[in-house]
Amino acid sequence: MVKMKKGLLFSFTLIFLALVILSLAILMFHNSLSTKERLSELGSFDVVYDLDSSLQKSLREIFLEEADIIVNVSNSSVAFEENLPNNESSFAGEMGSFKNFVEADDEHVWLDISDVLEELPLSVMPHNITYKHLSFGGDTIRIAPKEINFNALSIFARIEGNVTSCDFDTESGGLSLNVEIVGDYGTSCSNSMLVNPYEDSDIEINQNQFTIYIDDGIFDIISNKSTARVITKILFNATKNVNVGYPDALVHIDFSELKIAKRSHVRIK
Amino acid sequence: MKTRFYHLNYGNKAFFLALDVALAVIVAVGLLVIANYYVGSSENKLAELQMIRTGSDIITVLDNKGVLDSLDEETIKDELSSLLPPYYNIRIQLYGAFSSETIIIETESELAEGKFIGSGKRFFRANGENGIVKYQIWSK
Repeated sequence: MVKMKKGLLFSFTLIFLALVILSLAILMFHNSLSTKERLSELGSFDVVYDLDSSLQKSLREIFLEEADIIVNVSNSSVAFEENLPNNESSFAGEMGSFKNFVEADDEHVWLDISDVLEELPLSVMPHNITYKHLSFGGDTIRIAPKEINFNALSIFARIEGNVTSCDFDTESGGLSLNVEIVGDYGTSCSNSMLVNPYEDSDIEINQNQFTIYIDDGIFDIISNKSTARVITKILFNATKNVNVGYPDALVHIDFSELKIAKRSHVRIK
Repeated sequence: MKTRFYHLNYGNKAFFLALDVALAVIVAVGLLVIANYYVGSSENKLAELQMIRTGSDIITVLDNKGVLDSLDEETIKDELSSLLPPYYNIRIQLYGAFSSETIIIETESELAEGKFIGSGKRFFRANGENGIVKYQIWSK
């Protein structure tokens, strides 16, 4: 009888140990399955990252090569330099060509460039100031800040012909506005003033050959009838991480079978 | 009089109980071995992921350094030799609007059979033309 009890005790102990080993085995099995899934997901993320980063880089290169807009960024200012009107046909052609090339090769990628071709908007962040064109290739540059969170606006323009008249009709306010217009044979005019960006102000050069309109916090620079080289500089307090890029997400990547989607903005500078 | 099976000295009950436990242990060990196999294969997954990332990093460095812009096999090969770890083989294909032919740079002419091959691609621009670079990478 004692030997029977010893046998039973031995058997039950062995059963208990076997159950513990079995539990560990099941745990390891589930853990390894979970690890495999996570690693597969990481591999998919890498594929999406490669596509996204390369598309952003290429779109940035197209802007720098074809848009004929020079962008300079520092921690206290952003400057845009271009001809007005801008010769946009090269930029539009390259953007369209790149979009067709990419979408023909990869069905998971879609480039939303319609707004870029229409206005070529650029966003200054973190100040949220939009620099765009009313129809890229047209005669108007528009600076539309979400709020007046900058210290000064400086506009320099080299126009065709002599500077013969400069009319500054501005409403006094707290925003510093510096305007300098240069023409042929050393002719020029300039003015530094404090304006109210929410009231109507007009600056007319050579009877509307070149004009600056200010109203409702929006600044329009217009070159009528001729081409001008315009440098627009926005000055603000020293800020970290100042950057310029397209305001809307241009790059759309969708791997629905992997349940991964990505939308990306493109940073220019 | 009870019949004794197998002429055992200590009775049939204890024998069969011990046999049952032995079978249970065998099943448990078997499961452990299977689980160990899956753990081993997940370690392989980690190595495969690392291989893909190596290929991705190589292509990214070639692109960012402007080496791909040259579209020259020798230039790309020289740079590749300094980037590729010695235990990997790689094949890189460049094609696009810049040429009607595909440029191929490879460390071995034939893809490995029966081995994992990592792959990926990037879009790039060379001299104002659009292009695609694809890579395949496998261990030696």
